[in-house]
Amino acid sequence: MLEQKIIIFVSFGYMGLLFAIAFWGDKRAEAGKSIISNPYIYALSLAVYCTAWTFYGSVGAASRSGATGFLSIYLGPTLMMILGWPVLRKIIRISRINRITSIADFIASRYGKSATIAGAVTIIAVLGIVPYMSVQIKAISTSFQLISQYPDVYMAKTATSLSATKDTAFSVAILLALFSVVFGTRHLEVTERHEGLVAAIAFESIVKLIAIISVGLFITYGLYSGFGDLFTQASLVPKIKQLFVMEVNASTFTGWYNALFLAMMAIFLLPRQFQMIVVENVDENHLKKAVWLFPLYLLAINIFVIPIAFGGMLHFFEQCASDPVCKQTLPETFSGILKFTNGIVDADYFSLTLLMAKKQQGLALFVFIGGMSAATGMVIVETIALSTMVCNDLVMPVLLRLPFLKLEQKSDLSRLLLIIRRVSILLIILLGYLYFHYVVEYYSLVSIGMISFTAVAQFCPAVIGGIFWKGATRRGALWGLLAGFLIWLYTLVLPSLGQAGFLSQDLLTNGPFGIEFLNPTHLFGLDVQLLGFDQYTHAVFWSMFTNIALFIGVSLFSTQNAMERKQAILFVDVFKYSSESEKSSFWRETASVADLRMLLERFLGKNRTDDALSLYARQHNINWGKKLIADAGLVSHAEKLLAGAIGSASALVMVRSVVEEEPLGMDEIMHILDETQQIIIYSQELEKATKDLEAANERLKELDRLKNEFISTVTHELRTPLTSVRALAEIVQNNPDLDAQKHHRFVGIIIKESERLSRLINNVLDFQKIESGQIQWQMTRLDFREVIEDSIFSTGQLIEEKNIDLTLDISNQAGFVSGDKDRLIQVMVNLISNAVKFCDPEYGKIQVGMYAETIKTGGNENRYLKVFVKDNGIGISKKDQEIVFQKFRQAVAGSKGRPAGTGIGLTITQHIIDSHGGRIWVDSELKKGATFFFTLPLLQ
Amino acid sequence: MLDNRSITGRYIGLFLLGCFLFCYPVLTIFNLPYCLLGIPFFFFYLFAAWSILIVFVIFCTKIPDTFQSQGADTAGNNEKQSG
Repeated sequence: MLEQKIIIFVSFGYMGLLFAIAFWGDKRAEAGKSIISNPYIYALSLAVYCTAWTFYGSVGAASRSGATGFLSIYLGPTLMMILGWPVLRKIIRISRINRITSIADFIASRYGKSATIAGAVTIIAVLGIVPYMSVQIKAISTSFQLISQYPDVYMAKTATSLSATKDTAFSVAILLALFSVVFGTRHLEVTERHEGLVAAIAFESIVKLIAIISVGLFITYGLYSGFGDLFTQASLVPKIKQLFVMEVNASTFTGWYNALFLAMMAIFLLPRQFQMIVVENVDENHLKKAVWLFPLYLLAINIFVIPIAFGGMLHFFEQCASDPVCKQTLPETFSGILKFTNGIVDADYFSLTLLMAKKQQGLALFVFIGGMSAATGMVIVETIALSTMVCNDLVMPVLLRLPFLKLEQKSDLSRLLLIIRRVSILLIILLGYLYFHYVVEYYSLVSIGMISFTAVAQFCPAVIGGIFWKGATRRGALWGLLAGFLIWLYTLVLPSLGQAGFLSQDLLTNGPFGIEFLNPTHLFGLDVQLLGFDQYTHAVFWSMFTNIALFIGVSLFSTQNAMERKQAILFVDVFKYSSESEKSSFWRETASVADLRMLLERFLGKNRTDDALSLYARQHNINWGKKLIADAGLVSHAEKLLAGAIGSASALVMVRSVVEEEPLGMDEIMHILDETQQIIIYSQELEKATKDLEAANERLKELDRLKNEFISTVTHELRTPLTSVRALAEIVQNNPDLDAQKHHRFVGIIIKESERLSRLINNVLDFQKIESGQIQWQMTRLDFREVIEDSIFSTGQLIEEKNIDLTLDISNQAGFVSGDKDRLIQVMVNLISNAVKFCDPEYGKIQVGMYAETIKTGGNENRYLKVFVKDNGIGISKKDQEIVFQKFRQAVAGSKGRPAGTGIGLTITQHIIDSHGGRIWVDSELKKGATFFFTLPLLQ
Repeated sequence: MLDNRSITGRYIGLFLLGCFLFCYPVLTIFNLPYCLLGIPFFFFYLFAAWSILIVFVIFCTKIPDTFQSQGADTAGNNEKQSG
């Protein structure tokens, strides 16, 4: 006999332990040494998903319909977690930036911080979760009732014991409410984060996992000798053997997908899951590990579900065979309930009853604690999440709008907020109790849970559509949500109330007012039998269909207001605007700092306000003494702080009351956020392009001018020798008796002038080739000394004529380069003849030389051949040194006017050197001569 | 180089693999009345496929800790300071 006192003592002891963990977690968080800041605790906290439904209900479902009866509820979340990176991470990021505190806040914030949407989501969530809450109350009270009558495994023998369960349930509900109040609303969080709570939930997740694995191990290896033995024994019982395979029919088909879909949605849309995955997320990188850790947890907690179910069935079917009442009432397919003479055995509680039947007192108590752990975890987190929503999105907006309450003048509202939250926790749990009291006894744990899953799935179009589709509007979301919710009420809740006797059965069989078309169990004449739809599939089909259709349809035909447009962009493009949106502000104008401070103090309390504002001041280098007017950034910051406490919709209303200026108009917001950003980039690019074009145009004009000049120079240069050639040729022709000496001289001049002509023409042709890139390079390995010698040879006459003193400065070492010999000779000839041209007319001196040099560029050492041609002529001014290499440019040298030549020789020279991978430059001072240098890469 | 898009692509690929492993027609293929290692074949398939999927997720999505999703840095720091 397990005394009730002991059970209660252990239960309270366990709760005390949870408090200690939560307290410790909060202390550590305050000290800045967070214990929850790692992916393992994060993944464990997500396991708040596994409630009494999982702990007890799965076993019942497995014994009724095998693996397909319960596994889809855990495979759905596994699939959804794999999508964690693209989907959940986006939701987490959006929520952190916008300081989202709940699923209602999230949806409302997306649709223009709409208070209506926030209220609607809250109502759907609260009413939707009520059945789920009742599951937990039922599980705790039933398991308590069971274990306290140890070792008697039968329950609800008489009407008195049934009402005793209900009394227990009431006490359980009250205790749960008190726990939740103390756990969740000890103080008002600015960010709605509860580090201690998360730590406690993670601990609970470990306890329930160990508990269920212990039962599994005991049954598999204690009662049987392993899986093989258990399944062999089970295969001898036809009712169990038929569960080894799934029944392939329309019903399992639709049921499988329906449960998979609902579970995928529930894993992040249930208020408590949203709280744990999104709001309590410390670091978005924890998601990387959680995407496999959490599915691994789900796998582990499910491994022993089938062995427990089969073990329970084996034992109790054997008992049944020897019980006269049970033997008669056992139906063909097991419905999860066995009716014995002494009372009933519910398959949902096999894990407990089997241990009790096998006299495992300690283990049974541990399983009871595990089940309680699963149930209380759910209730605590769910009520905290829901109470935040009720307070922020339902009660406060109404209270703030009631002028006679004069809430806006109250100095500290943080106490009021806490009271509202506590009361709403009590009310939500009370509703759960009432639902349990009147309805739940007719249903199994899993089937009640499905009602709640269907309700929260209604958030799916608004949430998923909201983060991926900018066009989704407030109206679309609202219509979709309301339609889905109403159909849920009509097709699931109404029939469950009808079954409980609140409504006439006539409604369920013949439809309202005898209109079969509107029958809630097969709406619009849907043939549920043929399709294999059960009531959940039926409800999910119609509610999701209308929800999605209205969400998309109404969105397409309605327009967004300014706030909606802004939020839509912030949500959908969250990764694009992450950094900017922190700064982005809806507020154009300013408010007084004192007003803002007062507003914050009212909701957050004085201490928290001081902390938050001094932090802001430190980050932005603000001295509050000097700053009297809050700029848009500070107003925005205050709004976000407030949003953390009272939700974004209410925060907007409150900030509006302080900031006199209206929020920005639509075009101005677009200005801040989207289009202008692109326009600015475009116009910057345009400006740049225009500038480039202008510069190019200028250059073209300049080139055009130079080309004209060049043509006149060239024609002039060509005409001069041509004129003299012609004049001399005429003289020769007209004077046949010209003396031989003169004749010889004249012909000599003619030859020289024609040589000059062909040189000029060659230059022009070369230049034309360079300009059009037609030069063919004949690259060979050559000793540059040969090039110098050859070029001096060909300019020898020129040098001698001018009586110039040429010195060669060539080392004995060969300088091998790779190059086109003729072109390189052209370079040297150009440079030497240039030097000759500008040399001192009386004492001309030219020095030509070459030597090897090592040049360091970056980390590399490159060996170059450096060649120079030095003259002692008029020199080139610094300004002209830059332009001598440009085409058609000639340095205008003092009073002597333009020198002879076309002005393209050096351009050609530079081009040849560049093409050989070298560099050419000039070093000179006016009146002190010039030295042209060039380098060529040396071959090894 | 690992970028945001290729990581997303991997996850979506794994999601589709999961959808395939647990889609109803595929389940019917493994819905056989035999036992494997003493475990009914259907149960064996479900848990084996589930485990394999998780192992795939672990190995296919190893994201270096140095990889920071864009903007995560600044936003994260701000939150830590003001949170």
